[in-house]
Amino acid sequence: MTRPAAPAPRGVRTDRPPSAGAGAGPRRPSVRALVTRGALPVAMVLWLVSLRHVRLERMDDLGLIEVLPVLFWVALGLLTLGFAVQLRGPRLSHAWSAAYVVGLIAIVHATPSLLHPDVRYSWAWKHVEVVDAFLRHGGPVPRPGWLDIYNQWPGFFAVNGLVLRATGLPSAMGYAHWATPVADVLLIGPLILLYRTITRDWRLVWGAVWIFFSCMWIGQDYFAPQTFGFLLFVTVLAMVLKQLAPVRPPGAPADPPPAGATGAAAVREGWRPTRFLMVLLLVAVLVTSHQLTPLMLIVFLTALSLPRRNRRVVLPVLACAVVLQAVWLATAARPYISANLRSFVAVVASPDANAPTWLTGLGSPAPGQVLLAWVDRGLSAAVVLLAAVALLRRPWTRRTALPYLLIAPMPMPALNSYGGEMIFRAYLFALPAAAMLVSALVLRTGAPARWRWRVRLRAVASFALLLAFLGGLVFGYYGKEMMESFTSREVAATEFLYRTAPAGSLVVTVTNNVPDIDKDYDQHDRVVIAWNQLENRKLLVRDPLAGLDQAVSLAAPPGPVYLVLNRAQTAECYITGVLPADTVPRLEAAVDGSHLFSPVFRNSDAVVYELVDHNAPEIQPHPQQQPQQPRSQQQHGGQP
Amino acid sequence: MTRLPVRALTRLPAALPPAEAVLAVSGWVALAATTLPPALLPLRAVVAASFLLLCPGAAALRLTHPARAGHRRDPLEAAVLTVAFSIAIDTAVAEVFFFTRSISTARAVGAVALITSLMVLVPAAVRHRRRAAPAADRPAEGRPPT
Repeated sequence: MTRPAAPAPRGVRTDRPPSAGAGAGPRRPSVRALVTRGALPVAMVLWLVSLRHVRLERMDDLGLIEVLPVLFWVALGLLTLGFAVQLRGPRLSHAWSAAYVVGLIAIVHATPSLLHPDVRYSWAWKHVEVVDAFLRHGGPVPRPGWLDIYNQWPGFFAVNGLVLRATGLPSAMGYAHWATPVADVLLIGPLILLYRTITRDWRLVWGAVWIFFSCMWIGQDYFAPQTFGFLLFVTVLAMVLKQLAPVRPPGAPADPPPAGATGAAAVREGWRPTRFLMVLLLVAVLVTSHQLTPLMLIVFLTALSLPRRNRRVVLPVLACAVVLQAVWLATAARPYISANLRSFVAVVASPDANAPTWLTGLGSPAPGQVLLAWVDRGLSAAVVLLAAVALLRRPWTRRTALPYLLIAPMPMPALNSYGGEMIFRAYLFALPAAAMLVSALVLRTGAPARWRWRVRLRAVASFALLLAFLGGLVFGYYGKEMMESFTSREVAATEFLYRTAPAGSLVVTVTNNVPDIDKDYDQHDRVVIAWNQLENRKLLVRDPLAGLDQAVSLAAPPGPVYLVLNRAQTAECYITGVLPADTVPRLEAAVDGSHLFSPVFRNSDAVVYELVDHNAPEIQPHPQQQPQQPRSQQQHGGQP
Repeated sequence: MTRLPVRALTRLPAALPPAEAVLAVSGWVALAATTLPPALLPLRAVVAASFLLLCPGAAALRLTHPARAGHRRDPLEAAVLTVAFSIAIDTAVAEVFFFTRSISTARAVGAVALITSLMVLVPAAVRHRRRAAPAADRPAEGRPPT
């Protein structure tokens, strides 16, 4: 009896048809070939045409999902169909596989960049401003305020400063706009490198790459240290796993078994000194560029070092990573660590406190966001569940490094909430392994002739699953677009503000969701009322003007005071429920009727007020008032 | 410990393979591009960005001998590591200037260019000297051994 073609570690050779030579007739393009070659270009054309019909102003609870035309979804479905068909063809073309993955990245990740004239995410704007501030000062930014964390993990910003100096570009804003699709395309290579240490079956490799980008919904692929760190993290992991791959002894088969595999023929080399030094350099750059990623790397390396056979390769890297991390935390990052050590310990001691911040808001999330949250979490749970099933149903996966890579980040959410995001970051770091496991489970190819119907059924089911993944992805990725994108009118308001506000001004906002609000952040103070103590937030909800006055008095500003309200802050309150949805409009109406503030700039999407009466008793500091929340808690507004 | 082959280094340019020669001068071309007038900013941006993204890593990759015994040559690995090593070297250099508050265009690009050149020239010089050494020991043609 012929066994089904096993996608075992060795996998099937995919560069020739299994039945080649058996009655091969004259060649003519098959339906499969036509679909493979036709679906991609047609999908790309449909996608580009569809973007002309997007009405962004109609966005509501579900963000872009509501305004993308049918043609867009047809393009995405057609692209998925073409990829699924070519993946099951007799000859797998790397060029077509790569083109389909790039097409997926273009449609999913370049769409927002094409639709919006300005950078998405207020955090991307901040990161651009940090680069500018670094260059302005030629080094660490004095008086960095709540953005002091970047002085202590400067790698990403310093290298962008170098790029700006070398290229002569005036700001990173231009390329930050395209950071998401570019970073995702750059990630394809390290992912393939990682997957090829697991299996030589290229169908599984390309399938895993597709599934990875179909399930990466958490949006950590923008102009940010996390994006930079994740790219280096996957590269380091791929290098370690490649080093773990046994060397082929003389006379052994051409394809060596995968990394982590057991067997008599497994002969592992130690590191060559120069290669080890380059791995250390990558780890050192990670340690100096991001807070979380090196910790994740240490956790992953610890997991990989559990099997005795891996230790010769993994332990030297792990030891150096721990030493580098400890040295960095004890020196350059010491101010941040010593200021926040108590809160870190408190968080570790009470894992139940690590709830997402949106669950602790004073308002209710938008109705659509509840659905969106269920879809997000459903997608994540489905991916992890399918990965677990793959470990049970595909025994060869248990002999690879995949179980360690899947499980390694799971304990992290119990250790630190990371602003309520740790569970999502853990998902991100587990996703490369999970995607390969899901690929191994659902993209298995080949079957005996009498089971052809099962093959077809499996093909249809896997296509449906790929579509379902993308369906889940767009909810997570596009669902908050109303608050994550900005109009040019909102940008105009902050441009006006920083043209007119003198150094030493205090800029007050309800939430931090304002484009470019941290421009020249070393020269201005900031108050974000949504990050203030609960009493102040409750007062804002009860009596907006009194809440604003209290927020100003808590800051005790010596200089001019400005209040900025914009559409995106309203959207954030509505979408996340951090404050009741009508907080910003009510505050605007209250301030319009107040004698304390005067509007100095207004358009349909934003308004800037200036405090005109500095001596009003409402904004004078009271001795009994408690100080602002510690800075570490303010950081929870979002994570770099 | 290997002595720095300064003399061999000075004789190198003619002996370098084309790819190594291009790598060795690439940083200095990028440094020269930083002096282009503002009207040629796109050219400067392309030259400098290409150098920073590819050349330091390509030079470092030659040091790491990716094609280990028992492993086939892997163009994909070479491409990925070229970019990753470049980013790592650029970042390390940028951080040194960041903490010493001494960044300037010429210093930053010059430092990366120098590192790239050294990573190409020093191993080539060592190679060159090793090849030259046995030849020097050999007796010249037509002269009896002494």
